[in-house]
Amino acid sequence: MTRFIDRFLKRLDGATEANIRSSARRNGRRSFLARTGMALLGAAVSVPVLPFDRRAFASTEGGAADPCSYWRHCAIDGFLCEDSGGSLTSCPPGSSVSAVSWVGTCSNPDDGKDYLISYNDCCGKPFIPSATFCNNNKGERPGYRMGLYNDINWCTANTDKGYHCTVSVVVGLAD
Amino acid sequence: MMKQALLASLLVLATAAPGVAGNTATSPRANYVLHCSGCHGMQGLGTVEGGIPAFPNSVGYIVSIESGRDYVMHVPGVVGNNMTNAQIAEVMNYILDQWSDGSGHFTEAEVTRRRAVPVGDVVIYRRKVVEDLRNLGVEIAEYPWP
Repeated sequence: MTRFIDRFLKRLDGATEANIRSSARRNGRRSFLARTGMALLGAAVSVPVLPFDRRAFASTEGGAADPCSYWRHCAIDGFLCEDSGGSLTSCPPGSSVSAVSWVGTCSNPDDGKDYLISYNDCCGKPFIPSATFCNNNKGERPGYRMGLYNDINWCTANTDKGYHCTVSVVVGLAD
Repeated sequence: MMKQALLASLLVLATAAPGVAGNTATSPRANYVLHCSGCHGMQGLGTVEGGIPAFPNSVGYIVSIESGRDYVMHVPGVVGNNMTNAQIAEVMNYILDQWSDGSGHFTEAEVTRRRAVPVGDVVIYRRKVVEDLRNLGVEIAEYPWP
């Protein structure tokens, strides 16, 4: 039995040595490094190395030239708060969110669902004339349909009634 | 948005139903959010500064008497929206379920009948409803109308 194992190991040694010698004749010492480098370079070019989520930049979709085309702004009538230190959903520092708001329905192109969006005004600071003004007003009706009329300063129910800008906040599914 | 108007007219507008971009919602909850929550709020608490009444400790008592049931069919949110009478009944019942004990539900037929009843100035009519309730020994939440 021991002799059998010895013979097997000797053959294995021989085969391994033959393989290594043959490999050394065919490949240069640096070829491993060269091939690994090529593989890494190819992967970096053809596959994104870091994961990223395009939705993180969805608020700028529609192009920087037309921020009003972002889907949540479908029924907005006002200045965007992003231009004065706020965001899509938060009022700029020094302003307060309106107690009453205009609520509309907008369709999200990413999932095809309709969402209820509350367009709250930010109050208590003068508006910035150079800020982006969006006047989409989807679903608005003229003033004689008072309940469907959006051309209103929604800061009217706040102590500070001065209008500054408007946020677009998702408040639910329009199911 | 920034159009100037008299404060009085703004306050009237503020109590109107919030806007509706299309009438796409079908569930009573979604229709409440779409047509009512802009002024009454997601919590049904209204605003004192805006003169919007709160629902808790109020709406359940109001619908318990005849004049009150006529009144709620003429508040700005009901008058100004574009829902059908059946949808108005559903949303009203949703409000009663959320902010009262759920009794006093409306049917479409009752909504249709009561919306046709003339009540005149709804603020003055509300004072009559409050008086009717007071005569029955019921005091409801304060109405923050200026």
